[in-house]
Amino acid sequence: MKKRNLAFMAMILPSFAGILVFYCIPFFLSFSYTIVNNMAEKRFVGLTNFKAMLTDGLFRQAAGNMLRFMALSIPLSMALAFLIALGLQKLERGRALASVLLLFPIVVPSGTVVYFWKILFDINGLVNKFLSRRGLDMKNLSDGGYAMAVIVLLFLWKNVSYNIVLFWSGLNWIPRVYYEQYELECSSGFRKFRDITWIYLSPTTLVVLLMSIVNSFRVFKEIYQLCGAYPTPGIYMLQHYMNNQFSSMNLQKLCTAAYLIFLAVSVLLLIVFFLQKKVTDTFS
Amino acid sequence: MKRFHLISRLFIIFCAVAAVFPVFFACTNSLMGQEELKNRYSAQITEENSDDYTEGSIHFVRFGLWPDRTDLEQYRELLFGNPVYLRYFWNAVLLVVPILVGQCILAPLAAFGFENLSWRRKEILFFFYVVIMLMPTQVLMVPNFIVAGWLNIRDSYLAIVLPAMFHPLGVFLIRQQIKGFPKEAMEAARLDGAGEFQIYRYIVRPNLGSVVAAMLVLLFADNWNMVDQAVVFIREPYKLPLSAVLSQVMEMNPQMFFAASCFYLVPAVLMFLYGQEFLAAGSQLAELKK
Repeated sequence: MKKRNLAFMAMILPSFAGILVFYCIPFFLSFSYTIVNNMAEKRFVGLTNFKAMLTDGLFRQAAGNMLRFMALSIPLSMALAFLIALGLQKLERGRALASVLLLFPIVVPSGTVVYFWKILFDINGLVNKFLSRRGLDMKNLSDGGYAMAVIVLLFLWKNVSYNIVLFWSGLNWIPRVYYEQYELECSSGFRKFRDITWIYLSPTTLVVLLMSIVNSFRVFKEIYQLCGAYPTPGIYMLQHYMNNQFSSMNLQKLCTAAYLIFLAVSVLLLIVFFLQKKVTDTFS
Repeated sequence: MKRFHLISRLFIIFCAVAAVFPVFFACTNSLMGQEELKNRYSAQITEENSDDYTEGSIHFVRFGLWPDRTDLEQYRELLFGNPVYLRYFWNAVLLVVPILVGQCILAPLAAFGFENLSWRRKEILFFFYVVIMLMPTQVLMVPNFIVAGWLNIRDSYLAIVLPAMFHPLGVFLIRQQIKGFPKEAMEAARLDGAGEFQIYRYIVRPNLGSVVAAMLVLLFADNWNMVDQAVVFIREPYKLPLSAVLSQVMEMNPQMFFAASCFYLVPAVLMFLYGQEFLAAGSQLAELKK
């Protein structure tokens, strides 16, 4: 038994060593950068860096934008994916073709579709053409609210696919018998949905929520390609902030911001995990 | 009820079309010439496009899917004329291939080890994998950046490739699949005197084809579309992958942009066609995240 375990440990070792060397160890050690004043002097300053960052206007704006973006895009993408997965289930013919088409955005490089977004939403784009023909006020991408709406749409286009995969397999996991038994007792489609689909899908829903949170951080690619490294303040995200710290090589700010984001994301994920555990325990 | 079905079918058709339409648009527009693109999409009013709808000093786009006159000059330029685009393309290959190869070797092995190791605290080790998998790229880039400084590889592709080879997503996906692997098959092999490495190599690994394919598609999609790491780690512009320069090409030369992005799309589409059945079948993927 012992020898066997040794073999398993040898299999894990290469991967785990990589995890330690490239992620865990440097991240823990980088804490020492957050409590000194600068890399030359290295004087201990306690938590001053954290305090300074939390009151930094730029950081707060970036964090606020990020939260606003998540609050808009995550519920929308989940609702849309859920409706599509339900629709797919109802579809009698062409389901294979429809699912191939719907999953396609997963692999499309975001740069490929950026021009299309420009043609729709830029100052001389189709939306403005429509508005102008009807004599309405035109929209501009330098307007924060409008720009936010545009990147939320881009996020939906790119990320709904993956949520469909998750919901789809969650729906297929619910045994048909449940529906059949229920139909004997009551025939209303809505009640069937509420009492079976909704309840048995709730663990999946939390998984989708988790993945949506993870994906919402990846939207930077799209924003960067659509609006460049210095977008309008309304969509200046935490990623822009971090990248600026990378380019100015400010290790103090970089590590402090990384720790703050790490903490915030951890808390968020813990809440979701906790909810998920509660839901799973209730049903199994 | 019938009406409801019709609406849901129309809704699915609409979404499916919306999912592929922007790509279809890019492909057909890549056949337009420089002049035509300018006339159609430029905000400036010129002699050729003044017939279109304009207001004030703004020329509005004349949306179109089919070129007035097909022009393949940009593809000739891309493939034989200006070597810079092929270089960017090749850079992306140089970044993605080692990552995929590394993951293919490391991830199934580690997943097999994790699932079979009988040690109560192994889940604590595995917890590291889960946390790293869920963190935003920007947070992970900080440790990557620091290690790259220690190893003195900050200006080389290794700074991007090495951490990505160890990214936990692969181990995570594959471990979920191995959980369902019949234990009897492994026991039988053990009785016949096979070592654990032999069991892995001849019994388990050959059966992981579908989940490895799903992992490859997801990892490929992620890394072929790399922007963040590239703009932070790569200093010389000529070393960037095409994914990170497409937006600049778009500003300077729309014609080349369309051609280059269609060209860049080809490997992604091939990869997708190779792996989509595993993604769509994807119950293992959903399990994943539970």
